[in-house]
Amino acid sequence: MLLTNNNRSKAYLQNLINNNFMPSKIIFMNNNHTTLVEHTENDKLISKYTNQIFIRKLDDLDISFDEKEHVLKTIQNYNIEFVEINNSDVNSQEVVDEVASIKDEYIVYSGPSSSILKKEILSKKKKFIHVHPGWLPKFRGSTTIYYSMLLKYKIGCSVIFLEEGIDKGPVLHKQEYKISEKGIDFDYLLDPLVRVKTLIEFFKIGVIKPMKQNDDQDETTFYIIHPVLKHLSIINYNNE
Amino acid sequence: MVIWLIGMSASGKTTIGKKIFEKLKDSNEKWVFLDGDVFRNILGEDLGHSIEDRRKNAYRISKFCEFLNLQNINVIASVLSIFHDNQKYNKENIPDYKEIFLDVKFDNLLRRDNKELYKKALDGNIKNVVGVDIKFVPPFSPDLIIDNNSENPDYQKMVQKICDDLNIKFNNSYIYTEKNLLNFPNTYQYSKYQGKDFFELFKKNRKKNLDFLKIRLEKLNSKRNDNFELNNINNYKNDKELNLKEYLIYLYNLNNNELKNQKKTIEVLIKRFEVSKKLFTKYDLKNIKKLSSKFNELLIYPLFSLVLQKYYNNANNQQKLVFLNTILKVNDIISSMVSDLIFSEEVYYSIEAINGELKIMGEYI
Repeated sequence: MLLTNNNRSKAYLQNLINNNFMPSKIIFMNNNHTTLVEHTENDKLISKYTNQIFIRKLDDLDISFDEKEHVLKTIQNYNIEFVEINNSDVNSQEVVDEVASIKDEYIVYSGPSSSILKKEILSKKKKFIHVHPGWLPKFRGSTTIYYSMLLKYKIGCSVIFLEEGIDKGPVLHKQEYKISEKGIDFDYLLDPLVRVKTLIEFFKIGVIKPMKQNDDQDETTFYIIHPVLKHLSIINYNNE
Repeated sequence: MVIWLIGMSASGKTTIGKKIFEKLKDSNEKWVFLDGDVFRNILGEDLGHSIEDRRKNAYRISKFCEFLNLQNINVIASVLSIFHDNQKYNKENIPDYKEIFLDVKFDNLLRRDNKELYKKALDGNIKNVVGVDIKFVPPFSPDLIIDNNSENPDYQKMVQKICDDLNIKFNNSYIYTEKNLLNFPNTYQYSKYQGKDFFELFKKNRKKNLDFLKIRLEKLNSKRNDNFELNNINNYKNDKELNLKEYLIYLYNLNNNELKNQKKTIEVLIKRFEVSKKLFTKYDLKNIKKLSSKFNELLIYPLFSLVLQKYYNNANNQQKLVFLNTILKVNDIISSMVSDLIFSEEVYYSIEAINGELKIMGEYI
């Protein structure tokens, strides 16, 4: 696994382990100078000063993770082999070298939001497994959960191999979800949990059968959603 | 104001306190969230959980709230609070003190007992647990009682009820245009959810800027009699370069069928804009990559918005969202720098761009 300490990585790691999919090695990209976006000032204070746990749970899918548990703690709790790189840039030379040096062919990717893997790291003969929170090829790009909701589609998730074009790599597995729980946080709860649910289902199938994406005229690349559309999406969803 | 949230362990004090704070922190008032457990720790964990120590801690929190309140800093305090004399002290000493009791049945507390606090106490493994060996008596006269027994509480409604019932006033503002976005671009990543009121803030912001621009246009027009017709320019490009302002004027004058032929270029321009949040004066014709570092030709922004609005009107639902998303961001830029618009053309087309956007948004909100 190639990951950084964000909610998605926490959800991936904790649930993969719970389902007996133990990573053989983890490349952990750390940058102590980076503030994690998912933590509000209060969350940080409470995390720091108390032993409180933060369970993020999606009852509809019966899946959860503890947001307070740092990925390094999980890694150490389960004695997983890991290497820590003090750089959160996935295209940095340190990360590229580390990726090149590992034996495994398949790497589950959970890097910082909006990072794009460039030519060099993609040329290291590894297959990066990524879960995109959108039904491909219809929903490419960023914050597609919100756009799916706005267009009254179910939430889709696609497991793909990362390639150079954004979300254009071959598809390994796709799943759709109809979530009925209201008032949930899309960014920090729904997004990581639907992704990990899809990843686990893909692993359970146990077969890697890449399918080239059929581009059609219907394909659209979405960009980070504007707050007005984000509000529209959440309010429509909660009122449904 | 001090909002004092009282409830037993696992009653939802921290969660609800945080939700209230999330709603109020962007208002023009100052708010802090104070968690009883965090407060203990800040002071060095010198107190335990015996009744005497709990009483000391409760008074420390009260005094601290009093101190903050005196400096016009509002507090949301999540406190277990078992002492009625302490609650009485608060009422007598803290002006605008509001007490909320979170009422949760003990069975439900047991069910939510993630920390296994109650289980350990009931098994006799730990002492000084309120609800087991320390009796909890609900507050005598809370301002509000919240039933938090539901398995799936609707926090949004709960927070709204608290704000309504306690008459908490908050003056929010639309935060996305407070700084000049050409100097301080906004990535819009993980933007906060601010509730239904957000649309009103958005509309209010746009209308305020429209009024400002209209007054400015009147003043400018009184000096010169401008004609705002944009003449059709067909020489927007040479062999290598695309001049963005002229290209946008060209597109602005095209009919819908002719616009279709330019859609690919517009899609790449949207992509470029979404990455840099700027529009540059010149792009290379082949790959639409910027050829100039100049991004402050201000007429380009309203023109881009207006051209995207033309595309929006002829797009399918999926594509409409892509166009609208960028229109909103471009118009945020315009709104963030209305005072920098000094030429009548810039002002006139900015008014057009905001009016057009509000008309589109009327379909949604």
